[in-house]
Amino acid sequence: METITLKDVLIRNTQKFGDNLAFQIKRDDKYVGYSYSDVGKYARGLIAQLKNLGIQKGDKVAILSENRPEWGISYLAVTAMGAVAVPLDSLGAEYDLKGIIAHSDSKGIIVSDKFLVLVKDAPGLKFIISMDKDFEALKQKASDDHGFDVKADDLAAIVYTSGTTGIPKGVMLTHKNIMSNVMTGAALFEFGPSDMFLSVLPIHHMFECVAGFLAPFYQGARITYAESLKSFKLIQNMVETHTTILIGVPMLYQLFYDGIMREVDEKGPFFRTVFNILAFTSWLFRSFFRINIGRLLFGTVHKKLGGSFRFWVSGGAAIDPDLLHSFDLMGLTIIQGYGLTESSPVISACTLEDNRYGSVGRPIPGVSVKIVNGEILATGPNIMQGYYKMKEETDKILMEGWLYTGDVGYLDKDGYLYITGRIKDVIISSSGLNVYPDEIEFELNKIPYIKESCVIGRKVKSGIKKGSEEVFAVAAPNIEYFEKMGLSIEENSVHNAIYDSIQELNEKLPMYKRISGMEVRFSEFPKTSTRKIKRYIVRKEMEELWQR
Amino acid sequence: MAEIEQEIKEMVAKIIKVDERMIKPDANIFIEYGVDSLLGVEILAGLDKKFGLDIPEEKLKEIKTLNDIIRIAKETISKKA
Repeated sequence: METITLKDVLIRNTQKFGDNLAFQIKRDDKYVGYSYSDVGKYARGLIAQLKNLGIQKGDKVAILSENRPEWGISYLAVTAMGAVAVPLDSLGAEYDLKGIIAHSDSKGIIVSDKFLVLVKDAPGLKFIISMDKDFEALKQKASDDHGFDVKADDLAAIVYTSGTTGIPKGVMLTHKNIMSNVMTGAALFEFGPSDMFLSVLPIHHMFECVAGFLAPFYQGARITYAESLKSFKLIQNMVETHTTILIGVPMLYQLFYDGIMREVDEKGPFFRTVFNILAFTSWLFRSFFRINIGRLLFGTVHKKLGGSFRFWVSGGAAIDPDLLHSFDLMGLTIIQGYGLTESSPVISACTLEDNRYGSVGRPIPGVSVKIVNGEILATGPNIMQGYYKMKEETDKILMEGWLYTGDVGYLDKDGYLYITGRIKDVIISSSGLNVYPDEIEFELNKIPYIKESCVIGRKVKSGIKKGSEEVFAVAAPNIEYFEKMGLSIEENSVHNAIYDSIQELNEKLPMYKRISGMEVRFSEFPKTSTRKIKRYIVRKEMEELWQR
Repeated sequence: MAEIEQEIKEMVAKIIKVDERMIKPDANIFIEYGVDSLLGVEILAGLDKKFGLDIPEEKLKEIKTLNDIIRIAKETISKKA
């Protein structure tokens, strides 16, 4: 497969799909659309503006906003002109954002007004372009100039992921890295100009950026940016836009399922019985005749969801196979895949033809996977160049062209990949976002009441997030500080002081990183000979405590 | 108004799948009951569906407890009236 660049895609699609709508969003109760031709004009206008502001090939430009057409236009313009896009996390706390802007050497930022206050005085920025105030004028600035010469091996983006030492790591991805994933994904799932995507997940995340933005754009499909994350509004958007493909995380699909079941329950026992009979009939046909008649039997459910669905895609975190099965009986297919930002992001994916529940599918074409000492290793054209300005961190994860994923798993006899655990201590929140314990400990250890801390993931045993992980902190108090400040060192007082300071820290952390539970430890942490806390022993001790 | 409070409590309990008797009005729902941003938005969606209260997602920042949800709901009802 010949690799093309994001510049090639922008130029080709602007002409090829001209008046077809590329992006749309509901503003003031009306859908506002941007055709492929419009996207080209705005992007060329933005390229002219960025060149006027002195942006050269390889310069970094940060992008920050909620999901909206202008984000996509900015990303395409920056990468197509030969500069490097630095997508910022719209859920990120202020200190994270400013740190990333400085670390990435971003010369400017394209930002929506909603987030301007968080970054306007960030160090190193020479200019700010407002998506709300400056974009309209860009169309007039468009010329035929698409910027500098761009090669497939040129850097296209630096995407930051949570780090282990306070500052997140910048994953360097080339045009070839990104486009290999875009082109393979598009070929595997055979979508095209008639497909309607609904963009729900944060677009700075590689999963949404590739699967929900670049791949559909590459194929000439239409992307609608959801007006809200409220599930009934999402459903309203799906109905209005005849959505055919949705990219989501397990929690989103769980909410959809709960909504359907609530409605069934509200209609009474008779309706519930009918629902169960239909599900059983669907199961019979599925099991004995290998036919899925769910769409036929559950036509009402499909109609409520817009009636046009082809499939849903789930990523970010493991999805409950029971949930996949329940939706399958209703004729709603959810495809699961696996990947990391470091692999642009997809490594493996199930397909519509062979969707094995519990597996994350076979490695996608061009990507090889092997298991070494239980760990999943991947290589292929999608693997990153390294972490920006972090050679030591890069050398730990990238060896002889193989990406050491830190995930533990196995391949079955048919080559399907199964994930069974993680080597690293990363905690994956219910929304599929990574939380690195070291990063939270770094913040906890700044609290004067805390001498040292150990952060672990706690499995949620009940409630809607059952099976996912939440952040749990074990903190050893700094008794000397309590005494110095004349504070009580009685157990309850120490506990309360630490609890309150963790609450204050939580206020500063993005929601998915917040500490959900804590324990104060008065005895010394178990440590290695190099004085590092033995996290696995702390985890074992806490698991015993939670079981009591 | 007491009826509304009870209805909100029942609705929140259903969304976060916690027995409503277990929900303490002053407990931090994000810490005690594992509510995350997506579930938080779903609670606002519940208020919209049940009471027609269109509360913007940004308001989630002001919510920590069940009492906060009730307060914001009441404020929105009074503004509508």
